[in-house]
Amino acid sequence: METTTQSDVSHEDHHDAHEDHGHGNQHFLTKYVFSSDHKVIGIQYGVTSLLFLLIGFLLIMCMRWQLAKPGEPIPIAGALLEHVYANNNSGEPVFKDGVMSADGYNQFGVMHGTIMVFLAVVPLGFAAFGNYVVPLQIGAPDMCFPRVNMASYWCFFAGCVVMTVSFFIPGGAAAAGWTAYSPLATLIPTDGQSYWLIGMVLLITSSLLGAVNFIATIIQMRAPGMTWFRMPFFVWAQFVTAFLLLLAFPPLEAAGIMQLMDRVCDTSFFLPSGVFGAGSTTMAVSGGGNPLLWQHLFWFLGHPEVYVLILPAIGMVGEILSNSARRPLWGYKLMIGAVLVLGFLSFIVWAHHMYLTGMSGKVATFFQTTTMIISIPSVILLTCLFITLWKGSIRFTTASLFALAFLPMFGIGGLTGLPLGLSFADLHLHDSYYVIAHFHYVVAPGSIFALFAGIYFWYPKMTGRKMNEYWGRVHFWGSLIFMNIIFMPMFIQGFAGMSRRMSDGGATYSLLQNPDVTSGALSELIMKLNDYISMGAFGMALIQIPFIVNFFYSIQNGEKVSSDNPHEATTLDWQTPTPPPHGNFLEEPKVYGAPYEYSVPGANKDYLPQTEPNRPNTA
Amino acid sequence: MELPYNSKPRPDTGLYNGKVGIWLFLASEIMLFGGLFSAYLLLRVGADDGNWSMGLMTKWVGAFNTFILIASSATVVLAWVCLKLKDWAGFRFWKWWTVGFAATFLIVKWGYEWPAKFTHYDITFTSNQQAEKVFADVFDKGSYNDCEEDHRKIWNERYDADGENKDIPEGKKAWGKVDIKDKPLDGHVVGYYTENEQGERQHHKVEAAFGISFWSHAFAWRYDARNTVLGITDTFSEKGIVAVEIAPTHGVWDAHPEEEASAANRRYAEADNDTGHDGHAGHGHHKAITIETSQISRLSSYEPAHSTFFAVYYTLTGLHALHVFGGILVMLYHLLPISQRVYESDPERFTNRIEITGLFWHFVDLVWIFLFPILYLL
Repeated sequence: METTTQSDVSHEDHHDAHEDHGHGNQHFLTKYVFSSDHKVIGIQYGVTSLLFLLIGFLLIMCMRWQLAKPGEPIPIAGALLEHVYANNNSGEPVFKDGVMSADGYNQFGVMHGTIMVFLAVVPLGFAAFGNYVVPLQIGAPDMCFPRVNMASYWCFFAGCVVMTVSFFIPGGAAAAGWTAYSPLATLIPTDGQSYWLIGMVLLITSSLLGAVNFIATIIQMRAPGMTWFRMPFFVWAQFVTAFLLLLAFPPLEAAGIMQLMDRVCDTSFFLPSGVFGAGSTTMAVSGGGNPLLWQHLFWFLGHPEVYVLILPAIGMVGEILSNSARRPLWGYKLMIGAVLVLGFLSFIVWAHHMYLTGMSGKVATFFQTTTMIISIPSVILLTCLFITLWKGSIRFTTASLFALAFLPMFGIGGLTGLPLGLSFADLHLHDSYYVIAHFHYVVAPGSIFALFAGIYFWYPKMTGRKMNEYWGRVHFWGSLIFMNIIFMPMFIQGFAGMSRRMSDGGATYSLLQNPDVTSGALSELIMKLNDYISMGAFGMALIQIPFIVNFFYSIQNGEKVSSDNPHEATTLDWQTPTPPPHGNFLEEPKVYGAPYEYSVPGANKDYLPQTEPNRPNTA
Repeated sequence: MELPYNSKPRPDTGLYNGKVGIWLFLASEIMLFGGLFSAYLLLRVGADDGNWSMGLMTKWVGAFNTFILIASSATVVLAWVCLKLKDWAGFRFWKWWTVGFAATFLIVKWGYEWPAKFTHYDITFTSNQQAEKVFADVFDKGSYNDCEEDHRKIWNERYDADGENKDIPEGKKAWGKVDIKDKPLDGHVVGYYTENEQGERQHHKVEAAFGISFWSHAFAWRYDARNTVLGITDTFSEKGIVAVEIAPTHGVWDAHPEEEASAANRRYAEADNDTGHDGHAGHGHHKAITIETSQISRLSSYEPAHSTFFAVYYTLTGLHALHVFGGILVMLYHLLPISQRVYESDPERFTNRIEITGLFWHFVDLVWIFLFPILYLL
C-alpha cells in the first residue's frame, strides 16, 4: 500500500492503468456517477435510498388517508394519481376521482413494504453506511473490488428503476402482498408482479456483489495492527450482515425464478393440482406444485432479512453511544459473540412466520424453540448497549438522542415479538395489526432512528459541516412522539382482532352500519383509532420537513467542523482528512489498541485513538 | 492507487483478494442451486403417484454431456498449469479445448435436447372409450411396425383386450389407479385439419423445422380442453384445429413390465426402463393416426408447462446452461490479445485470474454432476 495525499494522487498514480478511478482531474461522470470509490458509492446508495424512503413514506400516507376516510378523494395526491396512474385490468382507473380503490390500496401496500425493506432501509443501513464507513474503520484505502462495488450499485439502481416503472404499466404494480404468496401472486393478472420479480432478481444480484465485497474487504484489507478484536463493533455487525445477505438471499432468487416461470412459461411450481379458474372449471395448468414451497423459500430469506435490517442499526448505535457516553462499549467481545450467534440462528427460525399453514405440532415446536433462543443474543446486545451508558458522561447531541431512543423502541419491538413466536399465541395475533405494530417498532423507530443517528453522526465526516442541532432536536422529539402515536394504537387494534390488508380500514368488516350484528365486529373506538393513527402519520410527515431542509441546507451552510475528529472519537474513520480523499488516509494507519478506549485512566485526554502509539498501560 | 493483496497473498490469511471473493461467490451460488434442489426434492416427494415424468429423458445424451463437462474441467486445470509453468501457447491450447467442450455442451443442450423435447408431444383423452379406441388403433391394427411386437404384447396384457381378466374394474383395466384416458399417448404432430365456412375439412401438413430431423414438426403447441371452457386462447383455437395428425412413438410404455409390477399404476414409465422414447433413437415413427380435437383433454409438448418434472428440468438446466454460457464468455476474454498484454505486464495476477475462473468452472461442472443423476437417472 502506498502513501497518498489528495493532491499528489492524480500525478503519481496515472501510470497505473488498472485502477483509474476517482482521481482529482477526472471527468464528472467517472468521478461522481460511474465512480468506483467506496465513499462516492456509499453516498450514491445513501441518496437513492433516502429518496425511496421518502417515496415509501408517501405511499403509506395515501394509504393512511384511505384508512381514516375510506372512499374520500385523497387531497392533492389523488388528483395527480388519477392522471398518472394506469387502469386496472378491468379497465377501471385505479384512482377514480382521486379515490384509492382496493386495487390501489393493495398495490401501494406491496410497494410500501418492498420499497421500505429492499430499496430504503437495507441499502441505507448496509450499503450506504457500510460502503462509506467500513473501509475507513478498518483502515483500508478502498473496498476490495472497487469495480464490483460499482456494479453492485448499478444493479441496485436498475432494480429501483424496474420497481418504479411497475407503477405505470397497464394493470399497475404488484398487488399480492410484499410476501408475494402463490397461488395469488402467480394468478394475479397484473404484469406488475413479473416486474416485481425481475426487480427482486436485480436487487439480489446487487446484494450478492455487495456482500462478497464487504466480507472480502473485512478479511483482506484491514490495516496493520487491525486485528479481528480491534475492529469496531459496527464492522462486526456489517460482517455478519453480509453473510446473511450472501447466503439467505439466493433461495429467494431461486423462488423468484420459479414464480417467474409460473407466470411466464405457465409452469406449476407453486400451483397445486385442481386450482380453480372461473366457476368450477380447474385451471389449464399441469398442477402438482406446492404453494408452501414459496413460503418456505421466501421466509428462508425473510427472517435473516429482519437481521439485515437491524444489525447495521445496532452497530451504528453501538458506535454512537460509546462515543457520546465516553465509555468503552460494555461487553465488546460478548456483543460480537451475540451477533455471530444471532446470525447463525436467524437461518433456523423462518417457519415461525408460517404457524398457520397447518404445519405439525412437532415442527412448530422446533421453530418456536429456536425463536425463543434467538431472543437471547438480541437481549444481550440491548443490555450491553444499556450498560455502556452506566456512569457515562453523555453528550446529548441529536445523533446520540436518536441512538438513545433506539434502545427502548427496539426493546418494545423485540419484546412484542415473543408472543408471535409462540405458535398458539400467534393463532390469535397472526396477520393482525399487532404484527404490523411489532415489526414497525423494530424497523421504524428502531432501524430508521439508528439510521437518522448515523446521518447526524457521520454527516460532518462526509461534508465537513455539521447539521443544525436545534432543528435536529425538533426533528428528533417530533419523530419520537409521532412514531409512538402511530404504532402504539396498532397493538390495541391487533388485540381487538383487526386484520391487516383491509383496504377500508375494517369499515365494511366491522359492519358498523348494522348495529344488530355484533359478532366479529370491531368497536367504534377501535375504528376511531384509525383516525388518530392517520393524524399521527401526517404529523410525522410534517416533522420530516425540518430534517430534509436541514440535510440539504447544511451541505453548503452548516457550521464548519474545526477538526477532522469533531466527536473526539477513537476509531479510524475519524483519523482521515475531512472529507476523506481518494485512498482515504494520508499515510497508512497503524493500529495500536482497542476500538473504544474512552476515559482511560492515566491518559491525558478522555479518548485514545486507535492510531495513538503512546498508550498508558491499561492491562 | 494500487490495492494491497491483489496478486500477492495476505500473510495472515494466506489468500489473495480474488480467491476470497470467488469462494464467497460460490457459497452464494450453492445456496441458489440449493434452493432449486430443495424445490426439486419437495415437489418430487409430493408428486402424485406416477406423475413424475422423468422417464422421458434420453440418458445417453445426458451421459455424453457429463463426460464432455468433466473433460473440460480437466483441460481448464491443464490451462492453468501451463500458465504456472510460463507456457503461454500451452495455456491457449488447453483453454481453447475447454471453450470447445463447453460450447459442445451447450449445442447438445440448447440445439438438440431442448428442441427435441419441444417437438415431442403427449395426449390424454376426454373419455376412456375414446382412449381405448385410439390405443387399439395404435397397438392392434398394425400401426406399430414389427419391432414393437413387445409393446403390442404388453398393451394386450395390460389392457386385457381379450376381456379374460375379470378382476379388473371396467374403465380401469390393467392400469390400476390410472384411467386409460389419462395414460398419455406420445408422438409427433405431423399434420392437422381445419374447417372452412362450408364445413369442409382441409388437411395441413406440418414440416420438420429447418429440415432437421430432431426439430421435427410442430413446436410447443398447446391444447387443453379446460381452456376452451375458460375462453383462453391456445394454439388450437388460434389455428382453428378440429383434428390433429399424430405419428405415435412409444415413450410412455414400459418395455419390461414383468420387472416393474407397480408400473401399471403409473402414468409415465420409470427412469430405469430405458424406453428410448424420443422416436429417433433407432425406432422410426409409426403410421400417423388422426385424433379429433373433441377427443383430446390435453395436448402438450414436453415444454416447461407440461408437468412439474419438466418445469424443474428446464429451470435447473437452463440456469446451469446460463452459467456455462457466462463461463465461455469469460474464457474467451482470456484468449483475447488484451489478456495477453495483462499477462505480460503482470503474469502472477493473470494466473490468479485463470485460477479463479477455473474454480468457477469446477463449480459449474459440479452442479451438472448433481443434475445428471437427479434429472436423468434416479
